[in-house]
Amino acid sequence: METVAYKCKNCVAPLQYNAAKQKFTCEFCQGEFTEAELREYWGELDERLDEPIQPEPEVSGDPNDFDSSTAIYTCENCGAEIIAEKSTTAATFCVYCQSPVVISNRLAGKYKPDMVIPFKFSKEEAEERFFAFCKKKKFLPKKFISHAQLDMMKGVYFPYWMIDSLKDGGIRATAKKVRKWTQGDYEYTETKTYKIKREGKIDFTGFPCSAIKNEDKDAMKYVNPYDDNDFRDFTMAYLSGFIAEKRDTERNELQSQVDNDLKKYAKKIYRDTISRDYDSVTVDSMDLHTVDEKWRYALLPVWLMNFTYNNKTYMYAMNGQTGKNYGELPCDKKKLAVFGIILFILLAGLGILGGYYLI
Amino acid sequence: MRKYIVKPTVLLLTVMFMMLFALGVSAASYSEASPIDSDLVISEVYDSGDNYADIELTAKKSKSQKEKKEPDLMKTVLISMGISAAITLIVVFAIYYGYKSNGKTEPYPYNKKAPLDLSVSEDIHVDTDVTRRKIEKNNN
Repeated sequence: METVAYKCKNCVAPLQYNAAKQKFTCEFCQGEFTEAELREYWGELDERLDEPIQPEPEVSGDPNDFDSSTAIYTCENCGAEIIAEKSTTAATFCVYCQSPVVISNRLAGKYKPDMVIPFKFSKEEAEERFFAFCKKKKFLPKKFISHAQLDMMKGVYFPYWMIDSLKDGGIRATAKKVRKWTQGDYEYTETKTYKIKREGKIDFTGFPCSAIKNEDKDAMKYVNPYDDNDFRDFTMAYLSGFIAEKRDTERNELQSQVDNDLKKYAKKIYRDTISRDYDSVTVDSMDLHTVDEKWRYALLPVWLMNFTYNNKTYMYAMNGQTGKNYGELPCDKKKLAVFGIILFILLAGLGILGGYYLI
Repeated sequence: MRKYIVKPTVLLLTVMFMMLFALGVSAASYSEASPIDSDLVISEVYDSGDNYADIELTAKKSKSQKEKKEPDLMKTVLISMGISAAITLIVVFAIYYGYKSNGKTEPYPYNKKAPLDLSVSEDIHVDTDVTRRKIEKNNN
């Protein structure tokens, strides 16, 4: 299988993308290169991605010992043979020399991403943000915020479809205004009914949809949104030093799901134009059709950490561009119970004091 | 100040504390609506030179009021503990489920990324309905 390793122009050591500097750096000679310099020097590597995809070689030996989705690749740096565990892994590290390796064959042809948002901050900064976030959470287990745990934090590029969709349609709704007043011995209620019509085009831009099946759907969803201004044309060099997954879904598989999602948003958008002076609004019907739609394949950065607590695995994800975090957090039930008891004693004491002595 | 108000836990705790205080105060004030000092009553009756039976009657009266006051203290304690337990449970569960749903915010900012070009906007008044109801008067 074809792999790519970006090497330093000066010393031929492996290059990695340095998120803090937003440059490509060599750990050995401290060389730094911009994207333009890298494209000039290693540009032909990306050109390979336009070639047809080569079939992936199967693992040699007893096929029963390995999952059918595994494949062998060769490290460009040390020549070691390494097995890629998942058929969707597009960038990883050599387990022997720890050099970043990009499996170019998995990013070629129709699997070549259109764009990428590079990591905006380094692992060190991600850790700082993580600790700052954890400081506010008093009931996290100590193990969760340990440095040993943070070693497991990985930078991963996840595949998404970014959808631009121009929709045309509208809604019909019934709204009511209620006014009450009294006159003499009677209370009067006046209900005014309005028929509401809203029509117009909605230009959805950059609607994200996860392009990989076997990942935590909620994590992939709630780690959004990303800022579209940082999108760059795809080059494999950005994956160097990170893990990357390739998509395993096609547009037709996700079309109905995306249509439903956009329909829900369209309903909200049309409804938001209805005055808040009404006491009640009921949407009677909605019509929506697609005028134009474009799907682009993008890789988006996520700092990811898995954590096992009380035999349950938790996944913590941090948006690699904005720092937004998502993930069910483990709660130390002992700490919470102690807090509950103290709170109860305080509240009960204050209640009794307030109730008995202050009057 | 705003940053404290927007934090739901702080707000929740403040509201619950106020509720608890108000309920405790109301429970106590209800139970102590007519406080009588029993010793004062006995001495006043004795000084006035009334007969023995009257003294005994007044003493019995004040004793029964003492007995009545003790359950009221218990009532206040029980109410406070009950409300405290309820508040504690709500707070604890709010924290626990807050951990479970960490980061579940709107993933697509449609207000920014999905502009609407409105071509038709009509609000047509179709009907007015007026009903009247006789207000019941409280004769007491």
